Amino acid sequence: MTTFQILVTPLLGGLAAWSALRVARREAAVPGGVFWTAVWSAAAALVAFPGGTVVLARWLGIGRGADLVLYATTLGGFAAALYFHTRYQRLELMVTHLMRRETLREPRPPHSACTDTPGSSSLR
Amino acid sequence: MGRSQQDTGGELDSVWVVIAAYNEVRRIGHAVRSVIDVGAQVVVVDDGSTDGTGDRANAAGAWMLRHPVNLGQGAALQTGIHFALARGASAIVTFDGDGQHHAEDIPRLVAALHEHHADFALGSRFLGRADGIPWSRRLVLYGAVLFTRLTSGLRVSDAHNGLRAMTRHGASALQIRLNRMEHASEILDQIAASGLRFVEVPVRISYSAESLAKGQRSSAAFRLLARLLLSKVTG
Repeated sequence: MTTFQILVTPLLGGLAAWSALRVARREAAVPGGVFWTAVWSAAAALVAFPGGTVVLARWLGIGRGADLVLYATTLGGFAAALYFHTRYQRLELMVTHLMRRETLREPRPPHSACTDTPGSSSLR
Repeated sequence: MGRSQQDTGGELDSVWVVIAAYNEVRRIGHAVRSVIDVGAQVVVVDDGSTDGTGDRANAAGAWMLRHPVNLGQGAALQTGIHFALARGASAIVTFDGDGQHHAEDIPRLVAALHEHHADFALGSRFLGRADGIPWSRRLVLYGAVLFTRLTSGLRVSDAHNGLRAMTRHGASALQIRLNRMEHASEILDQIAASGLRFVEVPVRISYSAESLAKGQRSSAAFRLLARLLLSKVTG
C-alpha cells in the first residue's frame, strides 16, 4: 500500500462510519445519511483498491479508471451545483415572501394626505 | 386629499402606477409628479434604498412601501402589484423611476387595454422611440426579442420594456418569482402560458448618461441569460 492509501483509506472509512452512526442515532435523515455512507465507503474502497476503478471503467465502456473518476467528479459537481442553486432559489423566495409581508403591513400614504391618524393607512 | 393633478375627468383614478426604485433620490420626485399629473394613483416601492428615495417619493405625493433590504426590481414590482390590487386597482401600470419612461404614455397604454380587449398592454420602444439608445443596448435587446420568441413563442418587438399596463385580471394572473432583471422575461413567459390577450403600444424611452451609468450594462445580459436558463431548468 502507498502512503496515500495508508493515510486516506482509514480517514474515508471513518467518515463512512461516522455517517452511518449519525443515521443510527437519528442525528441525520436516513436518505442523506445512507447516501453519504455509500459515498465515503466507495471512495475508501477505490483508494484502497485502485484497480477497481479500471474494472468499473471497462464495464461502463470508459477507457481508463482515471477518466471514470474525472467524469464522476465532474457530474457530481454539476449535480451539487444544481442542488444548491435550487435550495438557494427556494430560500430567496421564502425571504422575499417574508419581506413582502412585512413591507405591506406599513404602507405610507402620500405626504400630503389629509388624514394622518395611526392605523388609517393600514392595508385592509 | 391635497393631491395636485390635472383634471382628466377621473379616467385614471382607479389606475395604479407601480414604481420600483432603488437609490433614485435625484429622479424619483419628477417621476412621481409626472405620473400624478396624468391623474393616476402612484405607489413607489423603495427597494432598500440608502439615499432617501422612499422619503422623496412620499414627499412628492406617492404611496410608499419600503423593502428592508434590496431584493430586486422583480420583487419590488410584485410587492407594488399586491398593494395596488388590495387597493382596488382596475388597471396597473409598471413604470421606471429613473426618468427613462414618460408618463404621457400611461393613458395610451391603459386605453389600449380597453380598445383591444387585452389584459396586457406592453410598451415597445422599437414601435415608438428610443432616444439616445447605445447601439450595444439595441443589439442586446434584439437578442432578447429573439430569445423570447424561441422560449415562449411570444412575438413581441421589445422584450425588456418596463413600461407595461395590465388589467386587474391580468395582474392577478401574474406571480413574479424572479427578483432581479430576469423578471421581465418571466412576465412574458407567464403571459404566453396564461393565454391572456396582449397588445403592443408604441412608447418613448429616453436614455440619459445618468440612467445608462446607473442601469444594467449590456454585458450583464449574459449573466441575466444564464440566470434565466437556470431558472427554466430548476423551475
